[in-house]
Amino acid sequence: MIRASALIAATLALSAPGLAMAQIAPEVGASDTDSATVGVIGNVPAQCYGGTLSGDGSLDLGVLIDLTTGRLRTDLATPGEVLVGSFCTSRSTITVNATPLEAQNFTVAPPAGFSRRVHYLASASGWTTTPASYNTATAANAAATQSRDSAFTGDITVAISDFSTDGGETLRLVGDESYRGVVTVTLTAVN
Amino acid sequence: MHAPSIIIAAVTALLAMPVFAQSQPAPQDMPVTGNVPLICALQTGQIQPGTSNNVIGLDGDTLRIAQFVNPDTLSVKAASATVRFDAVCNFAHAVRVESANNGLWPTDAQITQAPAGFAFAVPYTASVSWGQANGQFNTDAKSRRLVQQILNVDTPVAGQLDLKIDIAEGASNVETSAPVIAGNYADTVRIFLEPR
Amino acid sequence: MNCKYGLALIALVALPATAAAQSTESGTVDVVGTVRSICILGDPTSALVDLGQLSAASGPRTGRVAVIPPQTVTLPGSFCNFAGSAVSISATALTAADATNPQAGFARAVNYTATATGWAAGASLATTGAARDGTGPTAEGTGATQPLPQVADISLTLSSFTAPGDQILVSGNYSGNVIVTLGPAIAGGEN
Repeated sequence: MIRASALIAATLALSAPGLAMAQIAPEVGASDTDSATVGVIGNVPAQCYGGTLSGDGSLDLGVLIDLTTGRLRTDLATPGEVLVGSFCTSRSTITVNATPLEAQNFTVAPPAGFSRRVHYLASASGWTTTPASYNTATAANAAATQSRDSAFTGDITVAISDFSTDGGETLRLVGDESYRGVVTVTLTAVN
Repeated sequence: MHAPSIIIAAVTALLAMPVFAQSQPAPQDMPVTGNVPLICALQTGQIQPGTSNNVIGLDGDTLRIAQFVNPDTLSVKAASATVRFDAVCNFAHAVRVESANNGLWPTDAQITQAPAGFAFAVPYTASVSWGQANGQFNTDAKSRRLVQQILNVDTPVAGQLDLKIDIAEGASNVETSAPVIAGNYADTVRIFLEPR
Repeated sequence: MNCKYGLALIALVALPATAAAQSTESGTVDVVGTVRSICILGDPTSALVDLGQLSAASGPRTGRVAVIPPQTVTLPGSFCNFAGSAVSISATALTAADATNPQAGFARAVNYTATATGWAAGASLATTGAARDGTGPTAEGTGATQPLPQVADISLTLSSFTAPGDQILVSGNYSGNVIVTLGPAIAGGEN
């Protein structure tokens, strides 16, 4: 009878396989392959870079007047400047602003018959379908800002034209070795 | 085997670059320059209509007097005219009026003395009007020499420069109304617009 | 004896009490247990690697991929309890959230090399080769076989960050990931 009991006991001990297995494996359902995922993120800001100037950065017109009349020359011209390698990493706007040429030393109000200011049209092309342009003689310049709807890299050509004497073409320009205005081209990234 | 505790690394420790401002505009300034030389320009003179008295006209740049002396007394007859020049100076400048002879002197022989009672040179007045500036320049015809007068103009001026030549009735470099020795008499008046 | 226990019990009870007893009887019981093959990866020290700004902010490389130092994530206490395991990597390049095909001169992907070391004699390596438009972003690689069961810290390093054609990066948020897999080495799968 002892033998029978021993057999039963041994058998019972074997009848609970789940209990024994739990001590070997820490996780229920673990397999011979495991995967882990590491995410990688970063960002690139919406940013514009204005490019490098091809020349010395100045638009010099030289002598502004006809020496026999003292009035603005009608044949003023200068090669434009090119901003090479401009880019925006997102959609952008380009804005041109310009200030008229003004006598830098003769700063008081000019006498009758004279002017100390020359107007012109500044334009920036190559960035947008319609060039951005600003005329210093007009109060409203709707074309001064133009938009691009995608990231872009390219060269922007800046040119000046359409010169006129402030106050009328019959006025003469006061003598001054330095007349100066500034054209500003701004690229702004839009998020 | 138990899983190790999770370490949450600070995100900033892994950042490669500082946070950069978004949408930074990129302005480029390009100066536009030029210069206006200091110039004066004087066009050919024209006699102002209605201003001439005893003057035939301006022949080129020669002002011809019609009747220089009274045929009975041989004293100088009054004569005057205003010559107008279109001119411009685009800077603060000076007007210089120059008389080559200091009066009307004979053009042929150089006579410095005449018989007593005779005039041998004729004085006159030159008046300049230019912008805000006005000046009068008198020749006395006592000695034959170059004389000049300078008038400062403080602003650029564009417009007309008027030069009035005025010979008084009986003008003489001796007594008034003295008879004038025969001959052709002349002087050259020059106008200069120049830096001060 | 190797009979079903239920039957054995009945059989014993059925014996008449007057049967002649033998001097000895023996029975054999086999004890059987199983340990499955298991690999478990330690939880990554960082589930997300944030590289911050991916493009250079200034200088001659403005707008192009910056010099990003290597980034390391550890999976500590990884183990396999069987012989012949290997680490596999599936790396996906970072690509911009905007899926629009980028303009000429721009790229919307950043490639890199993912290297897993610490498990076997040879590292596991995968270098992504996404094109400038972000296509083909995933690359895979498997390392040397680890011949023995082991517990080890696996180091995952991300390095050599480049942009296709070294072009200007479009703006926006970029994301990619690396999947590390630990499991049986596939025959012939060593790199």
